[in-house]
Amino acid sequence: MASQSECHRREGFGASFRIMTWVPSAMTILFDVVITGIGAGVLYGLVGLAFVLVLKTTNVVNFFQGDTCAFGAYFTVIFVAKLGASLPVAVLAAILSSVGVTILLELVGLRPMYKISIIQVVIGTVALSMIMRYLIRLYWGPQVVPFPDLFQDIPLNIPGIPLGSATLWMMILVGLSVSGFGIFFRYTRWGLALRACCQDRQSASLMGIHVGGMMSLAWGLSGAIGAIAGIAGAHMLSVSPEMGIIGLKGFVASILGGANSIPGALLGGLVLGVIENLSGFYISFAFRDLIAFIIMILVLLVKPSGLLGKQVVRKV
Amino acid sequence: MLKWLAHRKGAIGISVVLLALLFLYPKMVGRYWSFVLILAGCYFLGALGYNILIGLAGQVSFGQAAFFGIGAYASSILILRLGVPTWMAVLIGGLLAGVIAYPIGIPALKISGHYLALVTLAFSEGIVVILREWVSMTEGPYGLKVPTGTFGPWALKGEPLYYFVMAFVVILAFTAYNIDGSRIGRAFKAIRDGEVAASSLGINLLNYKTMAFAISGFYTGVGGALMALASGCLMPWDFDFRLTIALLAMVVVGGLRSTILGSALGALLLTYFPEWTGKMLEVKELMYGLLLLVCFLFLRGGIVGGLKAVENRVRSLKFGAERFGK
Repeated sequence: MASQSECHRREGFGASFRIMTWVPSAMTILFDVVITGIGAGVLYGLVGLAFVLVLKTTNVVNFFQGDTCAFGAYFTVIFVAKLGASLPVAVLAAILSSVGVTILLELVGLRPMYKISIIQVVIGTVALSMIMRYLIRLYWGPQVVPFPDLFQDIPLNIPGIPLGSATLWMMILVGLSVSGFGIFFRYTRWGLALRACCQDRQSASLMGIHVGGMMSLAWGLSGAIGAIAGIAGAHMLSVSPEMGIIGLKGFVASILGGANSIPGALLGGLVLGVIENLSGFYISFAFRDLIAFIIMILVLLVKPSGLLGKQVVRKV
Repeated sequence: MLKWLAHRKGAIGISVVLLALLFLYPKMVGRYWSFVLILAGCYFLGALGYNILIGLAGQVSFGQAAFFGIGAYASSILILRLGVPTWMAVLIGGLLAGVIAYPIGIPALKISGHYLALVTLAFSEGIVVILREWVSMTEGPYGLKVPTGTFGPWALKGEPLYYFVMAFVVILAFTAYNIDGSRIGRAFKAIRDGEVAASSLGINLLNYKTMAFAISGFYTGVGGALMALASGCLMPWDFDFRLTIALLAMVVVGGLRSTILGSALGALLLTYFPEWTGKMLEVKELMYGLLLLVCFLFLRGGIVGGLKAVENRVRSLKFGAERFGK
């Protein structure tokens, strides 16, 4: 039975309720399910964005993208618990460390393979992901780590929206970082160089852009995005060595949106989150994950360029 | 016929010695080590299937564990629920994996490289979800108990199981050897080396890609079915991405381009090594990851590739010595 205050809240929101025992109508359930889906979708979109970034500059599908989320979350926990840093400092340091680790891994483990075959690089990222997960498990054990609530002191609630304070803050953080990256791409010199590399590596290097450096920059940024996703979404992902699974959802998001489009990845993430939640609620919770994969296969078969992507013309 | 035999003296000699070794092995070592070789044999079939797909036909798949799982579950369910004879159940399990793998070749026409890897990965994760949730058929997370198989008068455990598995391994390895040298094998290699060139030479890409997936699925499925007999209990998450990585590591360590020898060496090495060192399962994942990276960075052809390079070096040295004196 819904409490009285709940009824008042709903009434204030514009719905008319005559009786005290309020039974949610099909429409309100639908609304709630969609909104929660958007909450998860924001996170998928952010991870998908990191994929697109790496894919565009280096042509590599990065299988340890999901593990960069684990880097962020674990580094934060380590800095807080072991070094006694305050939360904001720990978060910043964690993002920077994740950037450093990602750049280092790419430089040492993957860069020598670029010239041979891109498939080997992709398998190399899988190998790196396995190694990282193992190291995390070795250091911290396989259990779920309690993660500090970032915005405990400032609870955030919007009446009528069924999202927790942590999820709302996560959406705000994601929005801020996405616009931050957008500004970086649009208005800075490095962003311009990065965009040039995305378009055509060879001509970019002819224009005097240090392509290798830009690749490192792209990987570093993907590490930063992953860490932000891991920290902001820690309450949703549960911090454990297997947290990198989110990477798969990020893939699906980026493919759904068009694997070479940055706004597409965000849109794809939202669509994926909503579809997944709807199917989880109305069809079967157990087969939720299956839905994401079916979507991905269908998109790749029917419209490989995704929702917003550009058609890539293959030349012989 | 005699000429044919004389021509292949070396190869036949080596095969006879190997077969004799395989036959005598369980008599020489204890039960434990013959069980390890059974596992290696199952993994070998899985790796062989993977190598046919990725090394021979050049199609990247991250879904190999699913074929392994389909073979394992299908054959066990056939034995358990329908009482099918064990050898037939193993074959049907493999065939079912092949039939399910067949249509994956169709998207491989349109998408290639890492997108194909993603699709197959999604397929494989989906299969794990189905195995987990279809409880009425697969027992899901409670684990499917596989009964001891029978072959004629023998119950398949211990030595009979060893010979049963090895019979499959030898026959399928011989078949793979023939596929490698046949028209199909050459078509696969042509597709691997250049799709457009291959299709302009009259190779039907659709036929051969789907065939590559089907053959690969069959081999891996049989490996899985045999593994089910050996292990006795199946869990859905035994067949997730980690198994794919294990098989991939075997293929890469053994040698991507060397279908049979490479897969065999890789499977043997990666199954025996953890047993020798006596370390727990945990380290395996780290080992697979490190081995993959190290092989890609320093030993691109795997063990077989490395041996070939050494052989070439020795040959050229010899040739130089003959030709130029010293």
